[in-house]
Amino acid sequence: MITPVNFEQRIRGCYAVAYARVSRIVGSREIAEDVLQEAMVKAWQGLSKLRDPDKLEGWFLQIATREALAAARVERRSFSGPACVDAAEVADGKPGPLETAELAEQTGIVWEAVSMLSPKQRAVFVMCGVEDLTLREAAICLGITTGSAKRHMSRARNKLRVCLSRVSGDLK
Amino acid sequence: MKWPWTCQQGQPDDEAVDSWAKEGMHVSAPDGSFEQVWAASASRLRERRRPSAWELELAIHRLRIWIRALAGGLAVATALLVLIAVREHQRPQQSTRSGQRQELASEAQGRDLLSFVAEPAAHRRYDLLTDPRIVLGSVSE
Repeated sequence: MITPVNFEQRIRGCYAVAYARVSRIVGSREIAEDVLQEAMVKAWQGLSKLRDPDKLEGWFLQIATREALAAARVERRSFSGPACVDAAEVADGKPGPLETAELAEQTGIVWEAVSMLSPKQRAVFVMCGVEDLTLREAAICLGITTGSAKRHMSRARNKLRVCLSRVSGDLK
Repeated sequence: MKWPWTCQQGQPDDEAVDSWAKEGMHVSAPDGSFEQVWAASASRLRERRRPSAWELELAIHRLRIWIRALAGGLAVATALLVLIAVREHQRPQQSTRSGQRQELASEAQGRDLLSFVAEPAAHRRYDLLTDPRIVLGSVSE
């Protein structure tokens, strides 16, 4: 039996992962928090449907991911990308102004490239490419087949590869 | 931050693409984000449990419509019942009247029969004289 206190503690435990995933998919902090809010409400209301209480975290992540995908489809124009990350967060130690600016530019390039992907491609890529989940896990989470997840992942990587090659050429 | 593809020749492989994205898409939840989102969710859940004023108003309006419909239905049903009761009440009277009519009709038939019996030569035509109950001019029981 999951009590409200227990529910809060466990959701708190997986919040960082959920936040990172949702932010990467929707590309905006504000929308990510809205999505997570909706996911929490849905998870609490549908708690009776959860067969195994030990899988609450995975179940919540699944709800949050699907909500993020739906939000990404609706809010395509809100994908701000770089605004999702504070460049200072990424840097090790205390970066100087030049390093911070360079970092902001580089992360901006990555986010811009990721914003070119379709919401589903982005969701699959975030889960498999960034979080190192298997294609099967990503497919289950999104409610699609493994084959479909594989196709999305392949297309996403190809698009990013083209972008990456271009950037690489520019830098060279 | 080191960019993995810059040291490679040609097209970057899958690993290079993934590590590039991992480096560039680093996200961490800001402090207090969970508390903020949790509070907003809890507030939404409370709001959903307690209906708002307009929802209550709508519910009352619907209830009134239902009550009116129910009252109308009851009135129609009562009227029908009264109509049926009145008809049922009238039926015995009608049957009494029809009984009286039947009596009168049989009486008239009897008279006709007497007149028929009194007709000259009728006893011969219908062999009425053989019936011991019939005495000319009257019918004995």
